[in-house]
Amino acid sequence: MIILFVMDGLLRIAKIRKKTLRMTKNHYLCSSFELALIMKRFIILFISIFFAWTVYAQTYTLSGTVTDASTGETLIGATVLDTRTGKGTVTNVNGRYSLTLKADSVKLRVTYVGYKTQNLDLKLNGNLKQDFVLSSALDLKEVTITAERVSDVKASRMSAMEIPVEQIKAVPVLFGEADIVKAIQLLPGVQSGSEGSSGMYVRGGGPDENLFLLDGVPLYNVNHLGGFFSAFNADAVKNVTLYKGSFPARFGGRLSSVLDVTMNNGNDKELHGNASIGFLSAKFNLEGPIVKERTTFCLSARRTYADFLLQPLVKKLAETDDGKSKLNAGYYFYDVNAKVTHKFNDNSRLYGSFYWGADKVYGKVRTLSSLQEDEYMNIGDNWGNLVGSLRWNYVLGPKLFMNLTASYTQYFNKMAGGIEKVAYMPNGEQTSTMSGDYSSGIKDMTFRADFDYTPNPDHDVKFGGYFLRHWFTPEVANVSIDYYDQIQMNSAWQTDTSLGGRVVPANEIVAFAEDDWSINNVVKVNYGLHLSGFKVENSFYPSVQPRISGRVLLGENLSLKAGYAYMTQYMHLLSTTSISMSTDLWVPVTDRVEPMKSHQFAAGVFYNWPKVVDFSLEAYYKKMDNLIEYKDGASFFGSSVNWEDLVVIGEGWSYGVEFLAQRSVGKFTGWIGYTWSKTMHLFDREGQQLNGGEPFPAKYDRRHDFSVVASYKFNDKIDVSATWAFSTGNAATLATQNYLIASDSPDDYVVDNGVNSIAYVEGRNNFRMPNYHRMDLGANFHRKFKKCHRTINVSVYNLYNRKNPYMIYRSTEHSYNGYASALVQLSLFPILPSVAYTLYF
Amino acid sequence: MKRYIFLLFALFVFCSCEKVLEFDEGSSPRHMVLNAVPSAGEELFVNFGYSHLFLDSNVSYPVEGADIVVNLNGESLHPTRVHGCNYFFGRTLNEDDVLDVHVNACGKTMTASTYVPRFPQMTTPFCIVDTSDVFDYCNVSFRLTDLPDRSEYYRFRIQERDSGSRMNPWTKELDTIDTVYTTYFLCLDMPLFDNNKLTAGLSETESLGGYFYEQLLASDSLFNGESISVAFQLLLLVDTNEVEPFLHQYMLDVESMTPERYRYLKQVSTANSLMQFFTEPSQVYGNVSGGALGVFSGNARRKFPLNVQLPNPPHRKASTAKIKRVKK
Repeated sequence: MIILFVMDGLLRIAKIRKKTLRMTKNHYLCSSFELALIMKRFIILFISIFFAWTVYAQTYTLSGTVTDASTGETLIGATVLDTRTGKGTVTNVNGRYSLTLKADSVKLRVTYVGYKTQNLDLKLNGNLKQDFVLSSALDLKEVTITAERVSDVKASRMSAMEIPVEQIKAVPVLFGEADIVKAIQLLPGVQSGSEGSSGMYVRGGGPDENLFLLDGVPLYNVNHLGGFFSAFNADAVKNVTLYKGSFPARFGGRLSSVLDVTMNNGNDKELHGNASIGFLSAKFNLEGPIVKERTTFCLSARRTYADFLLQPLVKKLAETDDGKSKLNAGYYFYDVNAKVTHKFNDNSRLYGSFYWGADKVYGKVRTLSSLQEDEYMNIGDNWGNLVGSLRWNYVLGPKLFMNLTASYTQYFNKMAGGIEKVAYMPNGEQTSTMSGDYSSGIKDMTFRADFDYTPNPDHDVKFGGYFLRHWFTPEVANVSIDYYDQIQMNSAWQTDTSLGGRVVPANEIVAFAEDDWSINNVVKVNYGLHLSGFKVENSFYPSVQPRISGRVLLGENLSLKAGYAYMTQYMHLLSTTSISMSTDLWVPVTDRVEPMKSHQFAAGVFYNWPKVVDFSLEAYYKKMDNLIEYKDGASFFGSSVNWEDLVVIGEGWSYGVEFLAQRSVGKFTGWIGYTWSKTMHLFDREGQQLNGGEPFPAKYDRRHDFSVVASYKFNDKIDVSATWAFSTGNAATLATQNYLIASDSPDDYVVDNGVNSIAYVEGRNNFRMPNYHRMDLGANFHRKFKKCHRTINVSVYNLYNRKNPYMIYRSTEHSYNGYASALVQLSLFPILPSVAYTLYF
Repeated sequence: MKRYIFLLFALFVFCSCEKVLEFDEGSSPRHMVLNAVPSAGEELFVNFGYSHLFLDSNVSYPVEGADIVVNLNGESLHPTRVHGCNYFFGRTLNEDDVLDVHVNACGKTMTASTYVPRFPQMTTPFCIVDTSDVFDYCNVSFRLTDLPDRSEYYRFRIQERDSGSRMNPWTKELDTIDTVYTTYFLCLDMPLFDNNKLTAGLSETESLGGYFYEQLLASDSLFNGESISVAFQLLLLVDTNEVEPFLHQYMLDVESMTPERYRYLKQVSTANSLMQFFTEPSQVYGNVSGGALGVFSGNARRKFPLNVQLPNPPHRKASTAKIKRVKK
C-alpha cells in the first residue's frame, strides 16, 4: 500500500508492507510497517504544483511596500532579494512585493535604480509585513547609481523595456518639453511617423496596433501638434514600460505594442511642485498631501501659447489697406492630469485618475471685401481625449493582492469649415452662414479585476478579467445653413441636416492568467493564456491567445531568450496612405471585416556587463492577418455606414533584427539602438486586390533605423545630452509617368498642362522618400536656492538644419534637368533652438 | 522691436523649407499608350505613343516602327497621315460603327474593340429663369428620348462662355470668372426641395466635379430604359452692384458613350479631383490588351448653345445704392 504524508517539511511516499492487520470498526491497526522513503522529483501538471505549493510547511511570507523616502511614492520594479538563498522578487505596479522563504535567517537587500540600497537582516519565523523606504542616491558626492536592479538578463520576459523617467527627461527636448513617446521612438524596433505626422510603428505594425495605457486605461490618440508632442506629461509620470513582443497574458487588444504608463501618486509628506515656461508652452505640476501620509494629490497641466504669440504676427502680415486682416489662424493644445490617492490602511488604497487634453487648429480667411459685404472662410480641427478611472487596491493576504478598476475613456475629433457672409445694412450688420462639420469618436467603459498571487519565490501568478463596453461613432456629418435675405430682412433659408451619426456599440470580455515560473536556477518561463470575446451587432468573435516566453541562463550575466505571442485586435484605424491625421477613424470589426490577428516569434541574446552596459540582440518574425487598407481610389470622406465597402482585407509580415546597448548607471548614460527590418503587405483575395495582387512594402517599411542617445552629468549644476537619429526613407506611392486623358479632339493631345493627364501608378509604395536624420543637443543648468531650485534648459532641435522630408510633390515653380517642373520635398522643422525655465519648489 | 522678435520667432518655428529632389529618370520606365475616342460624325484617329515623365510637359513621344490597323465594320484601314502621335484614317464615323484596333510595336501586339453609340435623342433644351428671394437660378430642361436597347451612358456638361469679373481682395486685380456655381439635380419625378430641405433626390445623382467645369455622368441604371427628364439648376453668382440686365451664355454638351468610356471617365474624374489628396492612389481603367495603357471607346456628342438673360428685378435697383458700412 502506498501512502503520501508530510514529514520534516517534505512530501514523502511510503510503501507499507502489511504484516498483521486487525480491523476494528473500520479502523486499520498496523503492528509494524516498513517505511521505504522514496524521494522523487515529480514531473507534474500545473494543478498538481498548485496543490503542492499549498502543503509547503515551514515557509513564511514577507510582504510590504517599497516607497520613496522624500515623497512617499511607491516604487515599481524595486528588487527585494534574499542574498542568502538568492530568492527574490520585484515590486508590482502598486509598489507591493511578496516573498515566501523558508523559516530561517534572512538577509534582505532592497535596490532600485537611483536610490540607495537598503539591507536588513532578520529571523523569519512567521508571516511578516515589512515596508521599505528608500532614499534617493542623488545627494551622493559621487553621483553614481549603485542599484543592482533585476537586469533583463535574468528576467523571463523579452522584447520589453522599462525606461526610467529620469532618463526620458534627459533626452534633448524640443521647446523644453520632455516627451515620453519621442524618447520611446529612439529605441530599436520602434519607429516614428514622418516629421510632423503622428503615429508609432512597432515591429512592422501600424499606428493603430499600439495600446497606450495611462494608469491602466487606454488612450486612443496620444499626439499633440501632429505627433510632435505626446499626450503624456513627463512631470506626471512615474513609470514607463514598453512591450514590443512576448506580451504577458494580462495585455491584449492590440497586435504590436503596449506602452504602460503609470502616473505619480503624489508626495504624501509635503507640498511640492514645479512650473515651467518655454518658447511655445507653459506647464505646472503640483503634488502634496491632502491629509498627511493618507491622502495625496498630483495635478499637472500645460498649454501652448503659440496662438497668443503668433496671432498678432499673422494678423499683421495679412493686414490690408483698410486696416482689417484677411487672415486669422492659430494652433494650441492643452492637457490636464490629476490624481488623488487615499490610503485607508496598509492594506487598502483608493486611486482616482483623470486626464483631459485637446488640440485645436483654426483659421479664418477673408475671401471677399467690399463696402457692402465681407465674406470669410473658416476652417478648423479639434481633437482630444478624456480619461477617468477609479482603482481600489486591496491586500487580501500576504501572498495575494487585488486591484479593482472602473474607468472611462473617450477620444473625439471634429473638423469644421464654413462660409460666413457679413452684409452691412443701414440698420446694422447681418450675417449669413453656411457651415459643415465632420466628427468621429470612440468611448469605452471598463470594469476590471486583477490579482497578484505569489505562492513562493518561484512563481508569480497574475490572473483576472475585465468587461469593456465600446461605443464607436465613426462618422457624423452636419450641415447647417442660415441665409439672411437682405431685402426681406429675415432668415430666408435655414437648414440643419445630419448625415451618418450611427453609434455602434460593442462588448468585449476578457479573462487571463499567467505565471512567471523559475523552474530552476537556469530556466525561467513566463506562460499564460489570454481569453477574449468581442460582440458587435450580429457577430461574436472569441479568441484564445497563448503567450509564452522563457530564458536560459548561460552564466551570471548571459542569457538566451525566446518567446511567442498570439494577439487579436478587434478594432481598426482607417487611415489614408497619403496623410496621417487626427481625422483617422476608429471602427470596430463587423460581420465582413474580421479581427486582426498576429503570431509573433522572437529570440535573443542578452548580456549584462555589470555596472557598465546591458547588451541585447533580438530577432523577430511577425505574421499578421485580416489587415485592412482603403481600396484604390477610396476616400476617407466616404460614409462610415459603408466604410466596409471602401476597404480590402489582406495580410502582412514583418521580420527584423534589433540591437541595443544601454547604460543606466554612472554619470554617463544612454543607449545605442539599431534595427534592420522589412515589412510587406499582400492583398490578393478575390475581389480585394491591391497592387495587382502582388506584395508591396508597407508605408512605414524602413530598412535601417539607428539612434544614439547620450547624457552626461558633470555635477549637480550641469548636465548635457545629445541624440542622433537616422532612418532610411518611408515608402510612398509616387506616379512617375503621365499620359494624356483620351479625347475625341486631336487638339487635346498637344501638351500636358497638368490637368489633362493621368498619373500612372507603377505600384503601391513604389518610391522611397529621402533618408531621415537629425541631431539634437540639450543642456540643463541647475541652481539651488534656499527653498527652491531652478533649471534652465537650452536645447537645439535639428542642430545641423537637416531638411527632412515631410511630403513630396510635383512643382511647376521649380525646374529640374531641363524640365519645366521638379519633384520637390517639403520639410517642416529647420534648426530650432529653445530655452525653458523651470522652477522647483 | 517686438515685430522683429515675432518675425524671428515665426521664422524659426514655422519656416517650411522646400528642396528640389534628385530624381533618377532611369528608375521610371516608359509605357506605351493607346488612346482613341471614335466619335460619330468625326474623322477616325488614334493617338499612340509613349507615356512621359511626370516632370515633362512634352507629350509627343512616338513609338518608332508602330504598325496600326483599324478594322471598321470588317474593313481594314491604315493611317492616311500621321501628325506627332496622332494617326488619322481619313474616314468619318457613323452611329453603330464597330471598330477593332490592332497595334504591333516593340515586339508587342495590342488590341481593343469598341463601337460608336448613337447621337443622344433629345428635345431642344429650354431655359426658365427664376429670381426667387433666395437665389437667382436657371432651369435648363430637356428630355432624352428613344433610348436604345443596349446599355448606354451619358455625360452632361455645361460650360459658361464668357462672364463678368470680380475684384480679388488679395491681389487687387480683376479676376475673370470662368465658372459659376452650378448644381445639378437629375429629376426622377421627385421634388427637389421640401420645406427648404434637400431631399433624397440628390442621392440619385452622380455629380462628379470636373476640373474645368461641372459635369454629370449618368448611368443607364438611372434611366431604366425609359425616357427621362433632365433638369439642371444653375445657381448664379450675381454682383449686387449690377444694374444692367446680365446675359449668361452657356454651352450644353450632351454625350452618349460606351460603358468602357463611362468607367474610364469616372475613374479619371476621381483620380484628378480636388480631393485627390485625401484619396487613395489608383490605376485608371483601360481596355487595351497587350500591355498598353489608355482606352479605346466611342462616343457621340450634341452641343446646344444656351443664352440666359436675367431680367432686371426690382430688388436689384434698391441694392445698387451705395451703402455705407454702419459702425456700431
